[in-house]
Amino acid sequence: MTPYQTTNFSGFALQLGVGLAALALMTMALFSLHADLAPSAFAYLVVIVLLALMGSFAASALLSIAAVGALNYFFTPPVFQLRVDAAQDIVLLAAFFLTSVIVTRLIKNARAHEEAALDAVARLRRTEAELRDHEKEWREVFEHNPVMYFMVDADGIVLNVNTFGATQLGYAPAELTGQSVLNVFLEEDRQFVRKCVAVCLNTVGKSHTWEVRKIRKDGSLLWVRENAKAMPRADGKLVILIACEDITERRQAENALRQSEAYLAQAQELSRTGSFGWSPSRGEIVWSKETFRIFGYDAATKPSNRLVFERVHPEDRDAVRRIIAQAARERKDYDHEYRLLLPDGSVKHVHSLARAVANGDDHLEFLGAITDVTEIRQTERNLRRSEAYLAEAQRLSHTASWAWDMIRGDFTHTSAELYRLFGFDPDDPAATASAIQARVVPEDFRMFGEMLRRAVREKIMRLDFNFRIALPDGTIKHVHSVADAILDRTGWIVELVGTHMDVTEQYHAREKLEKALDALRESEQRFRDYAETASDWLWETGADHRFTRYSEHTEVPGAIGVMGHFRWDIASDLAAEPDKWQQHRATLDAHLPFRDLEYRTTNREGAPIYVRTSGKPFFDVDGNFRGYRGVSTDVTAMIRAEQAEQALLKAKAELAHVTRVTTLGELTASIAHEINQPLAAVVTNAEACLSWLDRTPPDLGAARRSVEWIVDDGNRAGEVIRRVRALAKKTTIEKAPLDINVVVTDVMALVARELTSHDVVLRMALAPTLPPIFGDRVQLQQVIINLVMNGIEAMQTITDRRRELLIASGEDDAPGITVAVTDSGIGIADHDTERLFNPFFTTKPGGMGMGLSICRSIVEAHGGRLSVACNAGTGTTFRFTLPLHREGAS
Amino acid sequence: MIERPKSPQSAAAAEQQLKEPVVFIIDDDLSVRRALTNLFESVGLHVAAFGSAPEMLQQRLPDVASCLVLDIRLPGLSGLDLQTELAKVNIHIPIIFITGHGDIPMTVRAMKGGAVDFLTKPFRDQDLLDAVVKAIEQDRRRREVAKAVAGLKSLFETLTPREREVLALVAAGLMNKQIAAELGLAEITVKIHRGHIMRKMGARSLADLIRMAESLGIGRGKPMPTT
Repeated sequence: MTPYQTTNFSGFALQLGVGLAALALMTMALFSLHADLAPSAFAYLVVIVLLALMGSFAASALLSIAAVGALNYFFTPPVFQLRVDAAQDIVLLAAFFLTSVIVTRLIKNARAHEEAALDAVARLRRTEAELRDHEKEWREVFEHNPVMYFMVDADGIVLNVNTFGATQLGYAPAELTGQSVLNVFLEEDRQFVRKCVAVCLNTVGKSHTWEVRKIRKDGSLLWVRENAKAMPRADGKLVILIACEDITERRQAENALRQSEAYLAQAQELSRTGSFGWSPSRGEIVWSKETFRIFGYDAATKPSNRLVFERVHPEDRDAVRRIIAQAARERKDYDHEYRLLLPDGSVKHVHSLARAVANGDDHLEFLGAITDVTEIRQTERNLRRSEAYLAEAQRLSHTASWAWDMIRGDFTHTSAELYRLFGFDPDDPAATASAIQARVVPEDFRMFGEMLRRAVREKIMRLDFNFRIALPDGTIKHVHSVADAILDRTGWIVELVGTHMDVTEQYHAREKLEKALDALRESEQRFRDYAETASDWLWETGADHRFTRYSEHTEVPGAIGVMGHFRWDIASDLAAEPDKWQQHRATLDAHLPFRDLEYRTTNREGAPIYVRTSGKPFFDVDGNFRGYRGVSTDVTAMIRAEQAEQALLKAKAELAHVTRVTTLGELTASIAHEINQPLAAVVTNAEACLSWLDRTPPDLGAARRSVEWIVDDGNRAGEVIRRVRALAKKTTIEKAPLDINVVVTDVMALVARELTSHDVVLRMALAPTLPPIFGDRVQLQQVIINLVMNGIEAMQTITDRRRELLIASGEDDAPGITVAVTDSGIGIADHDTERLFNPFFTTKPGGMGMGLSICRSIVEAHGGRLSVACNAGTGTTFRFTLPLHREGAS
Repeated sequence: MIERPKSPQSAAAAEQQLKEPVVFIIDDDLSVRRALTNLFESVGLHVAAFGSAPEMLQQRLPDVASCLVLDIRLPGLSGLDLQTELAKVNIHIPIIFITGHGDIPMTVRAMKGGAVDFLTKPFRDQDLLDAVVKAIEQDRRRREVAKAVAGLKSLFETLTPREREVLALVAAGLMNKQIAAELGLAEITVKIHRGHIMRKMGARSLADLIRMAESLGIGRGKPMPTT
């Protein structure tokens, strides 16, 4: 307050000084102006009031007194005396004084009020700034404290949220403000949140804590612990302040822990492994649930060493005791396996494993696991046993088992017998997959690839095949193999599992059997031959060539009544074939053997028969000719068959000839045209030639050219005639090596006009070089003409598309050549395709129905085949194949 | 394929040759084609021979008197088809058909289609030569007439529409008075038109003018030739 007083005093002094000076000046001025009392008083009053604004009342009061004095002394009569004569002057002075004092007082008061007000305003301003600072600090704390703050109203609408809180949830604060706070909770948790809020509202001022999940803007969850409290606001409304803390990680850790505990328990149960802790010094034992189960104790019992040893199999007790004692003494891990004998008499195999763990105060503790391995031991034993059985069985049956990984190209399993089968020692490191494969006979190995490809293609799941193994010493083993394919999900074969069985012995046995069967068949044939030969008869003639003896087959024709006759007496073809008999008699007279003399005679019933006979002379001890002995056979059936066959062939050839000539008849117009064209050209060229010669001078060059063309055209006509004659000639079948393309082109020259006049377009697709075939040119030409004519006829009624005839030649797989004649005609009904080749079958109104039948018989006589197929689009393809000409084949 | 004489020809000779008549031959048979070419060339005719109708259609035919010797049976486009085809594109080459035995219906069709002659195989070469010479002569005349008509047409085109109307009526044999009545003109005006027409058409006399009009196919009731 000291500075304030100082200020006050200096103000007072200043005001007083200034006031006195002003009053003095005023007095001088007024006095010199001879002013009256009243105006002077007023002037003084003005000065005092003005100075009163400077603030000091004391100074104003003193100045008022001074002013009264001055008025009294200078302006109140009597002048220059402190006396007042007139009463009204006293009143005036008094009034002046009073007015001055009151007005300055009032001014003082007013000034005091004003100052107080200014002061209050200044103070208020300060407070406000301080408040703002505070708020800013708090806001800072509020915003950036790593705690989520929410302020919600009683309806759950967010009034405020800090940036941290909003950011944690993936929102901007503005996005949450004004929204229901429930939006950040899961649908299923909202009821819970409402309840919590209600509790807060009912217990104003009390804090509540709960844990709940919140959902972020992106949908992820976080666990929070919320601390909330309701409090009334200034306006009496309740707001709830909530502070949340992210406990997601803690929650997750908790969950993980809980889960891993569950897993552990589960794992222990599944793996039949219990865990335990044992502190030897304190004698404390802790068991897991599974450990109780393994030892066959109730989980409620308190485990102890005594209980353990009670269960250990008596035979193993000492060993267990020793190991545990040693581990405790040496503070070392231990690992042992022993048996338990349970009260029900069953035996369990357990495997126990423990780690020595030293605790802080040098206190030793074992932590371990105990596993029930009974089943494993059992399985192992069984497996060992069955493996032994299998190995034995494989050894005995010579069967090897294997599994082959298709992807790696290596065995995934091999039995010992597999190595033995391939001639390896099972332990030989050289016996690799490729070494084993190398012993498969190469030809058979190639078959594997083909077989696998087929298996993949046709989805064959079981392969059953034979192959051979060639051992280094040259031995060949025969193997029968069966394998199953194992597929992956895409149906690809990934593995083959199978067996190889050594069937060498069986193979040899079968081979032997087959040989024996062959031998049997052969001897059977031999005996059949004997038996058939037995139907022949034996004869003997004397030195004079008369029959002296005849084997008495009852059914032998002509045997009766021949005794004493010459052979030529009983023969009936003496006149027909005199040369044969003459020669025969010469042979007999020369006493030479003869073979296969055939002659005609009659049997008992008088029917003509053919006999084939052979004989050789015999002599007595002195070398004298005694006659002939020999065998005769009735070959009538054979000869008749031969004759019939020849007759048939002849008939066929004749029929072929007839149809050929008929066909040529049909072709007359075309052939005539083919001949007429060059002949007309000959005449015209001759005419032209004369013209050239008639010129002056004669154009000899042109005339010569004309003559050359005449020769050319004449030859062309001659060639056509030659071809027609060849076809028309009635010749026997003469087979020779032929180029089928030449045969085709020869024919086409004859039928070209036929094609043109029927508006048929001919396409030739002849393979450039073809191996020769062996056949009769004329007959094959006949076949081609026939097929071409058929094609033309088939297209006769076609008007809506091109009439096209395709003649193609090519090689056939047989091996042989093939010729196809394709038309674009009306086609042939399916049921007619085979009947087509029957004699007298025809689909044409004017047809004889022999053409195709003869074509087929011609092709078949050449060892080929003639077939017909309906085309996919339109028309028909006739195709014949012929075997190739082989050198040396007749 | 065009068979040409073997001696090389100068461009001038070829040009000269183009002015002379040409015999076209289409026959699918090489021997026949060759022989016919030989025959025509031996009597001094120019020849262009083809193996099929399309081969000939691809050529630009020279603007000279010509005729076509055509086998009625041709593979692909037949002789009759070609005849129709040529008529369609307004080529009026005279055609001599060579027909085989028994092609009567085709022959009839050919004649209806405007063939100038046909020879049945086998024919005498002299008959063919005669037919060819006749056909070329006919073509030459046709060409002359066509040329003359073309000249008249160009003259006719110089006439005004009114003069054409008058000419049509004159050609129809109407008197000046009648024409004047028909067209609603004064007789003197008709006379003036007639004078113009005579002068423009270069007619020496009325008879001459009427003959011209007939050549142009103008007359009463007949459609006016299009210009």
